[in-house]
Amino acid sequence: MIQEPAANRTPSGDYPPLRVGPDPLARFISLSAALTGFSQAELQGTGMAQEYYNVMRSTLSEPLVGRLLLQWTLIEKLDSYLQDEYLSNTILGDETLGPMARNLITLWYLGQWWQLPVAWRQLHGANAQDTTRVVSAQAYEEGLVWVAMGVHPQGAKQPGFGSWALEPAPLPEKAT
Amino acid sequence: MSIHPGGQPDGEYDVIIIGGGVIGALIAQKLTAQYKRVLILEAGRAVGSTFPSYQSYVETFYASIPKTPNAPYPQNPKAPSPLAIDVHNITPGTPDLSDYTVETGPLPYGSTYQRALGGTTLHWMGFCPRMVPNDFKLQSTYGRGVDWPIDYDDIKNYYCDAEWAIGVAGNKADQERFGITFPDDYDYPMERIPLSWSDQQLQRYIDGEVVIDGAEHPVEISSLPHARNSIPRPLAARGGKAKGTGSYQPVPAVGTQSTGERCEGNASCIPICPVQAKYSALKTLNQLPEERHTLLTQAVATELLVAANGRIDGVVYKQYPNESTPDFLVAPVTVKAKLYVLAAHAVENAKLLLASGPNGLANSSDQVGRNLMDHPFFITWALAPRHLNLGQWRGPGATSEIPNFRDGAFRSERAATRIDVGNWGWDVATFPPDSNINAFVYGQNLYGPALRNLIADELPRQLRIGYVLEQLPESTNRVTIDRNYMGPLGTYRPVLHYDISDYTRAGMAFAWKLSDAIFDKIGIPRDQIFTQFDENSTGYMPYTPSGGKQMSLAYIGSGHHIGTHRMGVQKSDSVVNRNMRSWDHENLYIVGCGAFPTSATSNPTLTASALALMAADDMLKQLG
Repeated sequence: MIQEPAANRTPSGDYPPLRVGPDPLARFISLSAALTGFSQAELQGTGMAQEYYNVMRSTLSEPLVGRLLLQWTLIEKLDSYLQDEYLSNTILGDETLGPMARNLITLWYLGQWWQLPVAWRQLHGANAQDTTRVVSAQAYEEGLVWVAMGVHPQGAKQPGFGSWALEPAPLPEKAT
Repeated sequence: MSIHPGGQPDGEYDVIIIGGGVIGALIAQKLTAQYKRVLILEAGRAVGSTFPSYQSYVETFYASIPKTPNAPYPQNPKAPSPLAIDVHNITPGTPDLSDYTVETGPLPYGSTYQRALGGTTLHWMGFCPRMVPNDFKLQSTYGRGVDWPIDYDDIKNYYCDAEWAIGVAGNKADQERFGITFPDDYDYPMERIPLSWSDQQLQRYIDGEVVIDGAEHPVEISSLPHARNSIPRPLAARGGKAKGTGSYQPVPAVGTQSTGERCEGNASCIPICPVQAKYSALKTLNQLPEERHTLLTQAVATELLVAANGRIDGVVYKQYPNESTPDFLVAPVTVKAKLYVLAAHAVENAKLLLASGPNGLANSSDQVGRNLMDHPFFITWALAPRHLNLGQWRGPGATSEIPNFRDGAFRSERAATRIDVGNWGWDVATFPPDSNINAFVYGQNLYGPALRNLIADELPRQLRIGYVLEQLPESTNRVTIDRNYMGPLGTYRPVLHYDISDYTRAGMAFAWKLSDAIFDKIGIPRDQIFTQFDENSTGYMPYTPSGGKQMSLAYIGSGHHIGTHRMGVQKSDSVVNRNMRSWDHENLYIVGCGAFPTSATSNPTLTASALALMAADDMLKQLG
């Protein structure tokens, strides 16, 4: 059964509240932290959380976003040693939630939304907003991939003359 | 800057220059300094002529996927540029029509240029190596290609002029090899761009010798000259032509004095330098004396007119008020001057000559459009050992080269190569970091700290070495025009016919062995080398060495369009003489990289600039 995506925005332009507790944005940020390996403070420090939340809300239907955040809200309540296993199996391993979660990682790391996989779109519908794009110039500049690499984004946050001749940050202790 | 997108020619001109790129700009600068009046016709829009407009293109670059050379500059439907985003391997008999240029193969040309004010210097890397003396006499030294009508001694003073006109950072001591010489009292206007940390680490392992097929070859990592602002030298470094005291003043960004006087390490030279520390022709255009030049943008030259006596008698252009105006509303205008300079880019120069007159102009030799070359770019990539901690992804795209294979007796058998040691990870090899996110997140299903650590561990160790390969002139590699492939405003789309001979493929096969030897010196194990090509690779081509078995090679374009109106000593086999003046039309100059008889291995803009300044001297002589 192919399901059409719901129109998310109300006439006033706001998103209707999700029924996943009092603060869905906070749930979005804590899920993002688990997915990206960056702390919630680091994510908040990019200034991008609200924009990325909006990208997700405008691109995915309300029930799907609700399901993703509700699932994460349940996982968060688990003992920490169980959280990773449940994140892996019930979100990343889920045929509906997995592609959405991986796209959130890409959103944070590159500032890009990538069109969801064909199989996912056949299952849940092809939203016109679901196009591959850099979501904004600022999103590019705030891509976490550059932070993870220990460098500035190419073309932004210039490090200054001759900086490239200096010793870089050390590599992580051991490769994983 | 005196830009008149909707303006009119104003009075009498000594010279009309077609093309507002670096070559046209340098000629205009030299002519106006001698009180000549110049009209410049630029087909594209006035990209970046104010500081806010330039910043808008930086923003466009941020928001672009993919970040290709032309990405900051939206396509202009009235003066399209080849984008080379999807370079297709060509099916015989089926031209690839997907880009502005029509590609008939057998191999894809796959290089871009930019039709906008400033030209391709808007997105060039800015490397400015000189050519070596033997590059000018390939035929008499190695029995290959043709000789140039000039030699190194003829051009060396113009190289100095061009290096100071553009603003090149370099140390002459690093460049004095293969017979390249400089005046004793001369040096570049700015000190060399510092070698990257990665270069310095690699230098410790690479400098020395490599052994290939039993033969020893010296190798070393050396600095590259860049058209990129660095620490200025005293004006006395100009040598005999020094004027004034104090230091050279690095030229800041157009429209502001507050940025661009140093390279700030933005690491995005291609496609755009956010601070304009990298030279673009906009800087030269911005300095032209107001009263002695007129610059018309959005003015597409469509035809040169010729008089009965063989002299050029006018240029027809069509100036579109905006990029959406229907073609039929754009009327042709004819302008005249004493001299005409075609500086529109190798491909566009050939196109305009072929499209003019009943059967083309300046083409009694039948060489217009022929001998099209590029520097096929062969790339190899690997992960460097952790203990080197290369710290890639910082600084200009490359700050060093391995120059040892730019000349040698081997050029009678195979192509020379100039080797760039990259600073941006695997860049054009695999298009990271996007490709890594794709592989790690969607392929390996990584997330959380494992993902973050893998990125932190691998990407700074990505090493890409690029081999810029020489190509010989071949008459069948050419630009043509065809009524079946028309562009906007009644102009033609260029049709490219392109192949790469065994001379270059043999050079590429050697480059691969060299690459293995260099990676071996660095201590990279074989399983950390990822160079691999098959028939689905962009620019795939097979090569069978004599006595060996077939191997798969591949290349990408360097954006170095060379040939198409070559200079020579006689009108029977060349289009222009040593001053880049047409053999057939004495008041027509055809300038730029198209005038090169051979490609050698140097990035061509510096040499084209030096030649342009040489041609300008001849123009001044003609004008009296």
